[in-house]
Amino acid sequence: MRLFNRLVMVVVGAALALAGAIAAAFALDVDRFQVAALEEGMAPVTAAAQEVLTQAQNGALPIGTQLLLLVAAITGAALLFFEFRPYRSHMLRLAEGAYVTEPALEHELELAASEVDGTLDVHADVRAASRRKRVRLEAYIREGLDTQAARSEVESRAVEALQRAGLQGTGVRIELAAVDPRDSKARVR
Amino acid sequence: MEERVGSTAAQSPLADDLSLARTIAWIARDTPGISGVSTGRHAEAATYGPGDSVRGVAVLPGEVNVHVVAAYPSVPLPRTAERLRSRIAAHVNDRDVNIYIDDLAEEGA
Repeated sequence: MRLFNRLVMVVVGAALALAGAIAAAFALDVDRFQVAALEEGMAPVTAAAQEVLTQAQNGALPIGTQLLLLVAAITGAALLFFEFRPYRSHMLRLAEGAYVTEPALEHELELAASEVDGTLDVHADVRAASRRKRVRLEAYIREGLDTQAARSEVESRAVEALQRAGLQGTGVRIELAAVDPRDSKARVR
Repeated sequence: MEERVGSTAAQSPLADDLSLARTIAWIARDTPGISGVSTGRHAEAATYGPGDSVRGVAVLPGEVNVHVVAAYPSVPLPRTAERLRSRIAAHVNDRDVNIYIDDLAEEGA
């Protein structure tokens, strides 16, 4: 929703800026932006709106328009619902009255996995607060190393880290990639 | 009857909450395995009082929420949280204590 809201705000902001610029141009009578021509230019829009309102008043709205209005109403109601629904941060219950956030768990996994020799960068993605727990780890190791051994070491560190967080028995999906240290953005140790 | 002016802030419930929040924040920072208090990930967790506030500890009527950053490497997180919870519990009377580990920080980093 956050991305969607941002996109909506970008569109709304751009539309307001454009409308403001046009209004300023009309106010200043710049070139072809004459107030007298505004009414003429808006005529097709007002005529179309008037037609729809007349059809609605007479109870003769085309089925397509009715469906369009219904979809707009349902979409608006759904967006309103999601907007008003309080944001629940993803927390995992460790014990009575003790919680850990998913980003904290991700950080713990990344720190643990990055201790493996030859590891250049690690990204963790933890979905521990939902019923279907999921832990994914992307590790980038130095080219030329034994990938099987590195995978096993990364997995063992990740499992240890999960156990420290009280997540015994949670499977870890590991994606390992061998990269040239010169291509890695991470600090080479 | 003579009314004492100037001691209102010290006796108000808000000031009591602030004082409690300060104590809890100090305990949190002093607890092994805890790197510091956190202000919360999505909304600021804080206790507000007359002219001051304590971030990271929200003292509410029925509960106390403490947001912390755990140290890495450390003892298991559940044990760290439990240790902090038990240290705080002695100071909060009947209030529930909730510990939120918001993030981790490398020790010595």
